[in-house]
Amino acid sequence: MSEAKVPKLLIYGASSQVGASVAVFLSQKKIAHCTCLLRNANSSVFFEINQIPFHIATTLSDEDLKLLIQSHDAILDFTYPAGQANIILNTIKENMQNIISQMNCDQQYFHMSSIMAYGFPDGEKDLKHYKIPRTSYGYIKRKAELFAKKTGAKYNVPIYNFRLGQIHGFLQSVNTSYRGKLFSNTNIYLDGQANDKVNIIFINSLCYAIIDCIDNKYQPNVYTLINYPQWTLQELYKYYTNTYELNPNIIYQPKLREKKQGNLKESILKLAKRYRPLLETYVLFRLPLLYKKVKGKFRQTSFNDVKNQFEYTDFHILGEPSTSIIKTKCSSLKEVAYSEEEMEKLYISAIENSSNG
Amino acid sequence: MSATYKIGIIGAGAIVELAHLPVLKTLKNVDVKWICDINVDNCALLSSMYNVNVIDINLLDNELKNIDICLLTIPYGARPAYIEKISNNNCALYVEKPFAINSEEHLTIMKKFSAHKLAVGYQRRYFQIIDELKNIIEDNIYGQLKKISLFEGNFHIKGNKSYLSNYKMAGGGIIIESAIHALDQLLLILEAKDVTVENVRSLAKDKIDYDSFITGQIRRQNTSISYELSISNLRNFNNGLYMEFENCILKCDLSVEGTISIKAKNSNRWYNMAPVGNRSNYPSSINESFKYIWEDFISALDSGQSNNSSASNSILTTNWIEQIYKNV
Repeated sequence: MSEAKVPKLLIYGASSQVGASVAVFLSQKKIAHCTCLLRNANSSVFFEINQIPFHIATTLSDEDLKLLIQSHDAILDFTYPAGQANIILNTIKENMQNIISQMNCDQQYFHMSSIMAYGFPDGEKDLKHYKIPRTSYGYIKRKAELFAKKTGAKYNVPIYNFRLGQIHGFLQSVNTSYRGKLFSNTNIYLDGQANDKVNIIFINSLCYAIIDCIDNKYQPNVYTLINYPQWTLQELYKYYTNTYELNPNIIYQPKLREKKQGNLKESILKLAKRYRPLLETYVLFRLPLLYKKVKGKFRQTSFNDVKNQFEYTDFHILGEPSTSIIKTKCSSLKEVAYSEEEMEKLYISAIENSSNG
Repeated sequence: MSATYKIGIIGAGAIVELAHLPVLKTLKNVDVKWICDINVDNCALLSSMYNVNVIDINLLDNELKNIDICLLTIPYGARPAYIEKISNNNCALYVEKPFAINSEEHLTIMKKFSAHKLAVGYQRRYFQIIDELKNIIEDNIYGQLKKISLFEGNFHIKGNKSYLSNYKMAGGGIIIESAIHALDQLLLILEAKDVTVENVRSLAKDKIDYDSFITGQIRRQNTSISYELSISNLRNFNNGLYMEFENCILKCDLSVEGTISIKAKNSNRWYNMAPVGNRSNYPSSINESFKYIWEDFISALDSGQSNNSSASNSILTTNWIEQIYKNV
C-alpha cells in the first residue's frame, strides 16, 4: 500500500464497544475509510451521527456481501457470536470461512480476541501461555486463531490474529468501572507493585497498530496488543486519577501467593491453630515459657491476617506478553490523554448536534 | 402455608433463563407447568435446563385454563393479544417491564385484573438502597432535599434483540428499556405524589431514544424537588444518583449493592457511609431480587391485597414515562 493511500476497512462486529470505537477513531482521524457491518438497525444511529457508512448484514445478498468484502483493503473482525458455548466455535469458523474465502492476497484479515486467548484460568493474574486453555473462551479463540491461519493459507490471505489487552477508552465499559471505583473508594488496593507491567491498550494505539499492519510494517502473525512501551500499574491509575480529577489512596499490596504444597512447619502450625483451645488447655498450661512464646507468635500472625483483610479494587493481568508485540504509536500517558480528550469532545458534539430540544 | 400456584411462561428469553426460572424452580409454593415461545430453540434449551414442559404457542388457549399465574416476558408490542387471553382465563399475570407507555394503557390493562392479580417486573424496588435513602430523607439528617440528578449512561449499542429498534415492539428506547427501573426507584425513594417534565433534550430516531437530558419537578407530600436526568446508551457517565441537601451532597448508585457517599457542599472530600439495615433482609444480587418480587406477588395472591409488586403501585412511573416520551 502506498503511503498516500488511505486504506478502506470493512469492520465486522462494529456494534461492539471496541469495533465502534475503532471505527470512530479511524474515521475522525481520517486515517482509514471505514464501512461497518451491523447485525441489525439497533446501532445505526451511532454510525449516522459519526458519519460512518454502514450496512445491515441481513439486508445484503451474498453477491452484495462478496463485492463489499472485495472492495476493501482489510477486514477487521470483532465478532463473537452469542449463544451457547458449544456452538460458538462452529459459528466463528463458518463466518471466517465465508469471509476469507472471498478475499484475495492483496487484502488482510484481522481476527480480534482478548488476551484471554492465552488460555489462563479465571483469577490468574500472570500473563502466560497455557498449552491447554483453562477457559472455554480461551479454547474457542485459540481454535479460531488456528482456523483463521489455516483458512488464510488456503486462500492465500494474510491473517493477523490480535490478542487485545484490556481495552481502555471513553466508550469502553472499563472506563465507567474504573471511574466508579476510584470515586467511591477512599482506599484502592491493588494486587501488584506500582511498577508491575499491565496489559492494556487504548483505542488510539490499537488503531495505529492496525494501520501499521496494513502498511506491511508487521508480518501476519499472532500479536498481543498493548500500549508500547508497556504501561505500569501506576501509570494506568495516574491516567484515571488525572483525567477525572480523583484523589483516592492507591495502595499497592501484592497478594501473598499460597504455596501449593505447604511444608511440614506450616502443616503443623495449621493443625495447631485448629486445635488451639485443646493445646492451650492440655499442653501449653504445663509449659509456661513456651505458652508465652506461642501466644506472642499467635498475636503476630492474627495481626497480619487482619492487615490482609481487604478487598482488591480491580483485577489486572500483569507481566509481559510471550507472543510478538506491535510497537504501538502515540501510546504514552500524555499522548493517550490528549487523544482521548480530543475524541470525546468530537463525539459529544456529534451527539449534541444531532439532538432535538 | 400458601397454596401451590401453577405457572405458565410465555417468552423464553434471557431474563427467563437467568432470573425467572431459577427463582421459580426454588420457590416451594410454585409449580412451573409449561413454557412457550415462537422461538422453539430457546424453549427447547430452557426445557432441558429446567425440566419444564414446552407447549405449542398455538395451543395456548387450552393451556391457560390449567394455570393460576402467567408470566409474560415477550416484547411490549407483542403482548396485547396474550394479555386479553390471560385475563379471559382468569389467570393472574406477571408482566415484565415496560408495562405500558401511557397512563391510559396502564389503567386499561389494570381493569382486566383484580389489583392483587397483576404484577409488574420492577424488582429493583426491593434493593436495600431504596429504604436507606428513604430513611435519610425522612430523618432530615442533612437538611431539606433540594435537587436530584441521575446519571445513567453506559455505552452499549450491541443489539442481539432486533425488536429494540422497532418502536411499536419496544415502546421506546433506552429510557423505557432500562432507565425505567431507576425512575421507578426514584419515585419510591421520594415517596412521590406527582411528577412533571419541563424540558427534554434528546437524540432519538424513529421514536427510539438514545441519549437524553430531562428536567422537571417531583412533588412530595409538602415539597417539590427539581430533578435532572441524564440517560444514554451512547456514552458513559460517572453513573449514580446525586442528591443535593441543604447541608451536603450525597452520591449513591441504585444498584443491588448500592453504596452511599457524602460530602460538604464546598468540599471535595467524600465520605462513605456503611448501610445500617440488615443486609440479609434484602437481595444480594439482581437475580435474587426476582425472588423477592415473586414472593411478594405470591403473598398478594394469598392475601388478596395488592402490594409493592402490583401494577396499581406503578401508575406514576408510567405517567412519568408518558410525559418524557411526549417530548422525545
